[in-house]
Amino acid sequence: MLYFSELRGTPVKTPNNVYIGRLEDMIFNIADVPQVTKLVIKHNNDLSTINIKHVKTFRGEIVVDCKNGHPVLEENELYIGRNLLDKQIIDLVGNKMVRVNDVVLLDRLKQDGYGIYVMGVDIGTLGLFRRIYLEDIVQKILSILSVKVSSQFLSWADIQPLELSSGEVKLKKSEAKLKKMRPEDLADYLERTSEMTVHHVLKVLGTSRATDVVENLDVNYQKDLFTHWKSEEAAEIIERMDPDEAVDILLMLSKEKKEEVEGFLSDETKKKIFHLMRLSHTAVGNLITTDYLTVDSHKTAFEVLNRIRKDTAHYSSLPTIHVLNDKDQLVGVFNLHELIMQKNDTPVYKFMNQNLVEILLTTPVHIAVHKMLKYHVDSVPVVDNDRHMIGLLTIDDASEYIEKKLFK
Amino acid sequence: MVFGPATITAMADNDASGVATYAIGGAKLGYPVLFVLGLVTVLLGVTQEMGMRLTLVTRKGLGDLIRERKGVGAALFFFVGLFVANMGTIVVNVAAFKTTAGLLHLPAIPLVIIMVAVTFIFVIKGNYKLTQNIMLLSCILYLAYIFSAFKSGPDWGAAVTNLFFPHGVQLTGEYIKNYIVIGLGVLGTTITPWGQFFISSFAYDKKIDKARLKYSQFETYAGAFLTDFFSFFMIVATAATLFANKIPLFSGEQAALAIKPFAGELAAMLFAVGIMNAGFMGVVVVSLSTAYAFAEFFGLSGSLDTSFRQSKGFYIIFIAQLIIASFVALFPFIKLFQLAVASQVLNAMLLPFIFYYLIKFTNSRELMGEFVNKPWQRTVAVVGSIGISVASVITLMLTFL
Repeated sequence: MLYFSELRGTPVKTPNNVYIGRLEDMIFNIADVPQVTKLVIKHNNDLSTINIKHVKTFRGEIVVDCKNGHPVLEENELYIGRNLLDKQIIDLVGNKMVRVNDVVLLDRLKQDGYGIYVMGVDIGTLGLFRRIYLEDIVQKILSILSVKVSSQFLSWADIQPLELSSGEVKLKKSEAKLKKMRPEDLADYLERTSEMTVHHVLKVLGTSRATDVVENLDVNYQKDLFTHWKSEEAAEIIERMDPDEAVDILLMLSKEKKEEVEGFLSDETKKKIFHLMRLSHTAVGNLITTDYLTVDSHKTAFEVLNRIRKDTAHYSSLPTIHVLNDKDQLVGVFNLHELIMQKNDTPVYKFMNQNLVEILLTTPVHIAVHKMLKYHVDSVPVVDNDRHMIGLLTIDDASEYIEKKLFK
Repeated sequence: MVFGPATITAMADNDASGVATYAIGGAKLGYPVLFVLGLVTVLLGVTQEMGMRLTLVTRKGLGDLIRERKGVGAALFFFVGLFVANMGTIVVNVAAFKTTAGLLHLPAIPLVIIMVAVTFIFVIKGNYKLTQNIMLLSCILYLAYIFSAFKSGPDWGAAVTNLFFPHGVQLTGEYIKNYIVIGLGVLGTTITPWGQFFISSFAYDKKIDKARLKYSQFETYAGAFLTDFFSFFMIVATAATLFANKIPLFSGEQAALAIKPFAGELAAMLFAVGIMNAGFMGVVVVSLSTAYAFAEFFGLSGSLDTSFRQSKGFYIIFIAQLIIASFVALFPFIKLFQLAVASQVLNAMLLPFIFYYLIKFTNSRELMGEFVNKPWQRTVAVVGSIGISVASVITLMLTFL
């Protein structure tokens, strides 16, 4: 078990005992078991790289037989000192941000040369003391007091480096670990890093996951992000977002940016978004979504199930199904539980609830929320004066409003 | 939220140690000390803006960046320096409670203990609105100084021109020595190390986005102007009453004399309440800032929203400062006005080290992108740092030689 902090500064020589510098940093490849690929040597303020193949001795002193030029990161490579040590990382197990106090390595002499592996990081207080050369003293004192302290170690598999804003980093392989995290949590962590890192991480996540994360970012950071994104990439994310969220973001952008981004959106998305934008001048209109399902009252339960499978794949939630008559007016609702309990050929009008809870576009938000809570429903349809549905307000969309009121 | 982060930091600058230092400045040096105030206001605006810009762009606090880029050794140095300087400030603020006790003829020890307990409860249970209101309350004392300044019939011409160049006083060796030392104290109480760390933690917490940078920049300059606006009148009030009449400033009674022109017989009462409020603010903000800096430097969780068990280090540091400060402040020889300047000089000496990193980080294109320092900002900060270092060295020589 080697500690990076103890290795840094080790003199590096050639087999002829010629001093060529001190160990400044190490570059490693982030495979499942990450392995050091290059050593970085510093001599008189110049940096040079040594490929791991050329390392002859490692323990005690470092002997190498060949030296290369200035260090460069290949794809999927990181520096230990520059990108990992002292930086904040995500502890995937504890689900929080921690700071790397030291990096733990393992060395092994194989047939074809040395293998140096990055085992993980030390996030404990002993690591801090080691950095100021007091670890031994502190451990002695603690053992005299019979206090047992072990180092806090996180293995590589359980951490995700976050702050990678250095332009040289070319990570492509971090999605697997990031996918383990809930988008809400990842968004929280991203709020604590620079914009460049956020862009980087979102790119690595792939559009679908990135959208989930973006939706959960604080609104000010969303604005920052979208303002600086290329319009085409921004449009890709907006396409996949819930339409009401998409509208909120578009309304925050400058006029030119907004029009540029809209230019890249599909017609279907544009239709939904414009519809909502026209309604956004009211408090309720600002929160509603166009992702809701309506069925004809004569359809059977079986037909409705098929409809759901076909048409609602991209919905983030399906709290209720709404029933319209042949004049397209809202006449009833039912939820998934009620639907699944029916026999396949039962028509909808036989089991729908006709006691409707609904609101108008002009209904104040607190009344809408009160209705949802009073009648124990997850959503309430928004109708116009002719009882045509124009949108759906879910309790989820109102949650920000509720949170604000509760935790003022 | 009426006040932004810079305004709040600025208000907290006028804590008890601030009030005491400005009062001593005016009483011992007269109007010429206003020259230091003028320079310091500019430097304050520039460095606060840098700190805020740094945080808005990198989304990290100053403590985070020092730890990440300079390692544990540097983090430890700053933390120890900050802790010591802050302890000095907190002790002075607790000593203010003793002054209040003296002026209101109340027993000192119980009052100190009660105020510290109130501080503790306030921080653990308090919320934002309450903090804002208390800050507003403190404005009343400052207004008293403004009105007194007017009523004491000062030489306004001398006062205003001294902002730009010091003049009108006999420059004896003794005077110059005092000028350097007290001037450094005035600097240290206006631009504080804790303020540099506080403004970045605070701006980060409010999630201000980069697009509102221009507004935030304006706010930092406005905050700097605002705090020194009040300080100006404090100094004029004491210069016109105490310096002009050669009354030395050792006790709260004498300081209250400076607001007698306005408040008459109520001066003592008004000063007592005001200094207690200023002391309370100082204890809260400064001890919290040490705890936050500790969390940032050493990567422990640090937030009032977490429970004691989750953020043990944070709460322990916070409470430890209160306890140590109360204990020290209760010694009889610890008196507000004697200590104030010394503790603020200590603060000032830490500044060049902090500015060095502040300037380095805000100069780095890698960190700041297009928001890197403009040449004039760099110049002001560098010249300021050099000036402070020179004054610190001279002060050390004067103290120990």
